[in-house]
Amino acid sequence: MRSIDVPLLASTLALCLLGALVLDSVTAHAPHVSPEMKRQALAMAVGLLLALALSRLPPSAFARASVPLYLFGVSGLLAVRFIGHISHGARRWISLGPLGEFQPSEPAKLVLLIAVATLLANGLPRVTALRTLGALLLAAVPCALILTQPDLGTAVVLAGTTMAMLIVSGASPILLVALCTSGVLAAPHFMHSYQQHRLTTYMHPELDPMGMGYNLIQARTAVGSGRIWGDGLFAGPMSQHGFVPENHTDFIFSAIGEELGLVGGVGFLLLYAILIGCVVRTALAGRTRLEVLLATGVAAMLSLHVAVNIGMVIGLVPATGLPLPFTSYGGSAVITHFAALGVVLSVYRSRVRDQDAAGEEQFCTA
Amino acid sequence: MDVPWTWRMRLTVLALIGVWALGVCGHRLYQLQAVEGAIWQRRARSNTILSVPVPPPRGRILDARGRVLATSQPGYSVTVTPDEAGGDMRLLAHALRVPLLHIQHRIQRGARLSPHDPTVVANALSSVQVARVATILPHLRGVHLQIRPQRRYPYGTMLSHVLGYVGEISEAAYRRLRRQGYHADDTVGQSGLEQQYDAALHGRSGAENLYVDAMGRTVGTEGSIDPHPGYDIRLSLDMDLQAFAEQRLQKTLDELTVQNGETTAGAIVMLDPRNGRVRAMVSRPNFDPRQFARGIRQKEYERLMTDPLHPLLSRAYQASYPPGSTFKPLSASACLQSKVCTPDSVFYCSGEYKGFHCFVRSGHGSIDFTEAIAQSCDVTFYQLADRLGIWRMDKFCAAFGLGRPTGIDLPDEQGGLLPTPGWKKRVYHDDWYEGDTINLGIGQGTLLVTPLQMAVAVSAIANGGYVYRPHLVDAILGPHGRVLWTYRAKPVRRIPVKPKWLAAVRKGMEGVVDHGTGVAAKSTLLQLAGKTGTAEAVPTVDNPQGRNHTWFDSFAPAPHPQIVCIVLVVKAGGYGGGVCAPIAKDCIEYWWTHDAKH
Repeated sequence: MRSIDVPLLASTLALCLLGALVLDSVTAHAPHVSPEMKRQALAMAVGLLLALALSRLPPSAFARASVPLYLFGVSGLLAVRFIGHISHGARRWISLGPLGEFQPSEPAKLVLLIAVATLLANGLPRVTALRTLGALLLAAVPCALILTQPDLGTAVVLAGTTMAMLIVSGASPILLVALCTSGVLAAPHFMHSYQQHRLTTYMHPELDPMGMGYNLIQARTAVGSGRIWGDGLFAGPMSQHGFVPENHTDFIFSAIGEELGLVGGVGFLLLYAILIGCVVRTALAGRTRLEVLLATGVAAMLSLHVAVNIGMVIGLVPATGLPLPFTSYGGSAVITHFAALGVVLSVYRSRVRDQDAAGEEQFCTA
Repeated sequence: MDVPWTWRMRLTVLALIGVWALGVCGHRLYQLQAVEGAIWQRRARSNTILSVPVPPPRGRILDARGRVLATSQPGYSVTVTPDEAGGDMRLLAHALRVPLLHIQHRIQRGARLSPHDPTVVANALSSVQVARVATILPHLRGVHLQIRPQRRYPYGTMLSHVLGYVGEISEAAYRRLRRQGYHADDTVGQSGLEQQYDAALHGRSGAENLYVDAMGRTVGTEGSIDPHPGYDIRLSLDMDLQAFAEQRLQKTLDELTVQNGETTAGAIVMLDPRNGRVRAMVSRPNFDPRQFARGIRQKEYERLMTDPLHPLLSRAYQASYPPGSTFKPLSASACLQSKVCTPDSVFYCSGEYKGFHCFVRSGHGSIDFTEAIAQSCDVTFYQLADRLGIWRMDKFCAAFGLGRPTGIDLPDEQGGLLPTPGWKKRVYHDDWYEGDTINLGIGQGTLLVTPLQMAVAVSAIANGGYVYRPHLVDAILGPHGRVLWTYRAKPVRRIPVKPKWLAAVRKGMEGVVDHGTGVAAKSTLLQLAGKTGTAEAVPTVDNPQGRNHTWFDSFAPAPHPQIVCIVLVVKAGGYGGGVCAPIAKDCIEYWWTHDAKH
């Protein structure tokens, strides 16, 4: 059992369980379990098995597979440009027939993370400007493809994850600041007007009560109305009767706030803190630069999802479509996040194995 | 170990930033849910709970024997909430078979008055309409089928002017009454008793709190306040007598239509002279209040408004006519009291007095006071009026209640016209001449009275001088028939004429029926007294032939009067004794055999 990070898995499974309950609460209409909840449970089972399988691999295996994985991820994003179908005004999904929908931008987050970690972990410990640019170039390709889907939130996560890994690996702060500034300045030129609109309505949702502001106002109202203890699962009037659009996917935290109250909302925050804390602990204990960077990337990815998603629902950051990990409805995201945990578990396991190997060595010499 | 310590340090810093971000989120949650929670909760509830007013059933109108003259029964209505209206309203127009414009007007009205409340688009749906609307409801937003009380008048057009009609509250009235709990689509009385007693009949709306989803569809209920039904009102009139009087008047009017080639109007008022209670009140032509109850169509309304006979106008209390000779008992009372003559005075009628002719051109010769009334001798009353003078005449007329509304419990009552020298100066800029007074003595000239005023005046003569306010409603009944209020009649005033003079006038009126101008009213069942009247009309646009208005005032039984009956037929063309006296006789006989408590 030492080879498995128990607190990490426990907090993940707790999030999955609670998330599935909330999902059922907002999607079910009768006493029956909703089809969304069933599909979500299936995705969670697949994701858990995938995570356990990946944890058996040594971290170096990810580095070796990084090039084909990266190419696979980018080709998925290219494919969605041509055969993807449009929903909610964006081309993000590929139909897999009876298996449902697949969102290539989700695994792209993970494969980019592995590719950047591999690039930065190779060679000398000092990260040169050249390698910084290389890492940014690696990130730029999927970022550009995702921005044109358009999907601002995922692109922000990709850029943020890459940036976190660059900071940890000691890239020149001046260079990073310069690149960040130019990126922020250039961003509006690549943004769709609806994205610019979203950014402005975030500042003043009441100016646009029937458009994007509607979603933000309704979500905030739902969260606030939950008060301390919430209205109870299946009992939140706004969550139950469609007053918050998308409250089974990106806005699921509004249902948590309304039905479970402050207690439930803070409970979710604490569970995410434990989960991410476990990942950071694994990163800090990493034996190689690759291990540290892989775990750092996953921690950054999860943190960005949680902070941006919850911040959006409660009106702290602009509205961008991002799922809440292990809670929002969406198979691609659930499986990708489980796979990312698999990478972290693999790092955790390799550290334990190294210790065991070291112990055996000592024993032999003795 | 190939991981530099700086990496771990920078990672720790990033992790601390993450902790800070989670802390910010947690603080914000605390702010929203614990500090501002109550505000957001109220906002969420107003989002999701819709309070729909439930109209109260309107109180019933009952006759003296408890028969239902007006009641409410549930019917289907289509309502639209303007705030939530969505979808193609052409579907609704087609399902109801009404013009789209009508629906749009209704929604616009609702939007102006109270956009959050449902507004009625169509009332009293047929079962076919209900079925068609039900099939299209899923395609429309904010449209509901609602069961609402609808006004029913079991007696149809009978008593229509007294009952009045109901209709949707007008925009002006709504703005005035909204604070008293009225709603924009409330049904209120628009005329007659329905209007006069609306406060009692209306009741108080309840409310149903509905849980609605974001599409405005009802998903459940959350408590409700029951509506408070309106009170019933009970009238003093008996529908049997009323129905008989209506048919009797209609029969005469039908005969006159054939005879004159022109339809005309008429009225009957029957009062109890002992207390002013109304026993019957008829006006023809009439209208159908059921058209208003279900929402009158534009075409029907235009027809009512453009009809030259004005069917909406009650001839009993909203229209005034010259009283003709029925005025003579009033001026006779005034003359006796003023010592202008005595019951024993004898007059001489040559057929003419100061240029004014008696209707009997050859004259009545010597005639005493009683016979002057019985034979309706004009010359006698010319002389009496001349001697009495306009000032004293006006004083007594005002005491009888002429020239102002009687104060019956009905809206928009007319007060007629009592001419005075001051009035003539003001309106015609002319002096009052002797001839005006003489002409007034026989009820001609500019004097105008309503049949109801005449009934009150005759009641005063019949009951020994007491003027009562005529009254229709006897009692207001609460739930389960509990009596909340009863009408207690008491005289408004006493006319300043001694009872012995009134008895002399009554004797003259007995003579009218016994052997005078009104023998057509002579009954074998009981003794009637009365006075005929034939008001000569100058040919006008309305009345090109210049046909006479005919009257017959009567009371019975003559020794102890219990009923007063006034009959008016407008533009009848004959004489009061011929046209109206038989109607009065039949009505009083019917009352005597069916209604009177011996």
